Amino acid sequence: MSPLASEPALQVEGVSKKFAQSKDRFAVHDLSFSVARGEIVGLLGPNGAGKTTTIRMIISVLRPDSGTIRVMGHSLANERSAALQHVAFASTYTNLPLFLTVEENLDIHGRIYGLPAPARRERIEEMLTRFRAHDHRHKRVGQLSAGERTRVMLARAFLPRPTIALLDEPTASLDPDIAQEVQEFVATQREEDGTSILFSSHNMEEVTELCDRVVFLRAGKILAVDTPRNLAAEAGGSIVELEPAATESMLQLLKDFQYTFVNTEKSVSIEVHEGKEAELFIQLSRSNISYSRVTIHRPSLEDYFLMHAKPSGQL
Amino acid sequence: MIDIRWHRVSAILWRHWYLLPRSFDRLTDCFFWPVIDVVVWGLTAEWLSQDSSTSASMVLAIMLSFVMWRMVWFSNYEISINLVEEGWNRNFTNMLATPLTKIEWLLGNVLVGLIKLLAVVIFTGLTVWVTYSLNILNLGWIWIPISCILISFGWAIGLIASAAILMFGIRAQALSWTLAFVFLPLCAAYAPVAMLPGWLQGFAWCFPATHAFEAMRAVVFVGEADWNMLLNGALCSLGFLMLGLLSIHLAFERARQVGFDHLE
Repeated sequence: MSPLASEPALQVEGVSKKFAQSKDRFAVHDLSFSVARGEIVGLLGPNGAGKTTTIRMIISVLRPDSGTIRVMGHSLANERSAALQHVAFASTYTNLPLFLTVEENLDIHGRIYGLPAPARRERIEEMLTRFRAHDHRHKRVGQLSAGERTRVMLARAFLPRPTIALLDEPTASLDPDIAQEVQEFVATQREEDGTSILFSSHNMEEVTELCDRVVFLRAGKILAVDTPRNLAAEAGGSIVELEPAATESMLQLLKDFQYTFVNTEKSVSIEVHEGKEAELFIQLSRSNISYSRVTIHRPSLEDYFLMHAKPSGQL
Repeated sequence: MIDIRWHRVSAILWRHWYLLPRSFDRLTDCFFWPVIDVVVWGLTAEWLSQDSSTSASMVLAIMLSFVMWRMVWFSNYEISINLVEEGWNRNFTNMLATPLTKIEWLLGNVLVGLIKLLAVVIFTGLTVWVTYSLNILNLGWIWIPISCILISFGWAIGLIASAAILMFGIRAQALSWTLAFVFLPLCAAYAPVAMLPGWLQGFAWCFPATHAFEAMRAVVFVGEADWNMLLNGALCSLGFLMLGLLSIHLAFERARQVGFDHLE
């Protein structure tokens, strides 16, 4: 086995960055995380948490004040070109040369990464097909819609078969159907080419759907690194909402079993530990308490986000 | 050791080659303005030469001055406008996020500039020949050292303008096409240094282009190449080029500290 095979695709160690204008406040402070080969990691956090700064340091547009960033074992500080040869970047907030056609943009990108002519042409065809941009190949980028442009940005990013792709809010400002399409593309890319992906997004459903792990940043520091499901579970239990036939008997049972609940005129909302919902229904059934309309609200990554989005002083 | 990969440099060449036929701005810079200038300057020079006191060499000197000044301006412009172009397209971050190095990017732009400059000089020379029956190549072999001095001075101005744009952002874009003109009256492009006010003459000799223009006039009017003039011009040019490279290096380093947001 090649020594590189066990190497994480991306390794960020003790990285800090402070901007002159923000005086004592770190944009990111002592950041350490890694992305394994073929893993999709979400980079989450409220505005100003340091997501963009982190991504910019990984693509070498910003230089960290301290710490190291390694891509496939290559230090970004000492072997920039060798490190970035493995990296692809796509962002909603950047663009491509507007007067150049889709195909020309892809061709230039392939040349930068040193793809020889026949392989480049073949790969461009493959990417145009995969990202459904074949019909636009001769159109100028400036003539494309936002959705089409995002597809071209992704086709360009994945063209040189990067080991890791950094996608900075690739679905921001896209219609839901196009955003769904982009998610499918990203998932396919991991399956087909085994690409690792560091994914920043404000769409929590998307992150839950796509990511194996989430790095949650707040005020420039890592608050948590875990699976989306585990982070969601930290946001609290499930809420089971029932419409009881006989309210009094149900309330008595909930008190007996020490559930936390809220009784409204029409329904009763009961807080249940995640995964323990079935126990509640068994208890209700044994006590012959009938009910109609059941709704279960499971904790989501969004709940976790909302819980932690405020700065620590405001919690 | 500097690691330069040709495939990355060639990518920059292709990026601008693809753009050229679709960019009206770039095409007018290459072909429209030179023709207009040739006509305007040529007519003025011809009118002056009708006066018996004005030698016929004057027309050639003025046309050569015009072509040579274009070399300075164009070499400068091709470096700095390509930086601005990436800002206009919001493509700067995309470009920096690749293995492309700043040396490769600069080298690519320099080569694009040289190729276009060659086309512009040939086109302008032909226009001068067709309209005024003057052959700018009559200057002879001295074209080579003069061109080297003027082109490298143009690059130096382009690098300094680019450094300023990297420092102050896209709002400083006008420097791409204006900074070189600051040097136009100072480097005796159309009239000898002796025509400048006395206090300015010493200052004028600080610029490499001054030596190149004076060397050209020496050949046209006296028929002799001034070796010392050319040597001083070359040394001066080297100094300016070093200054330009240092400026762009420092500006890039600073931009990597504070970010490139101001360019997009």
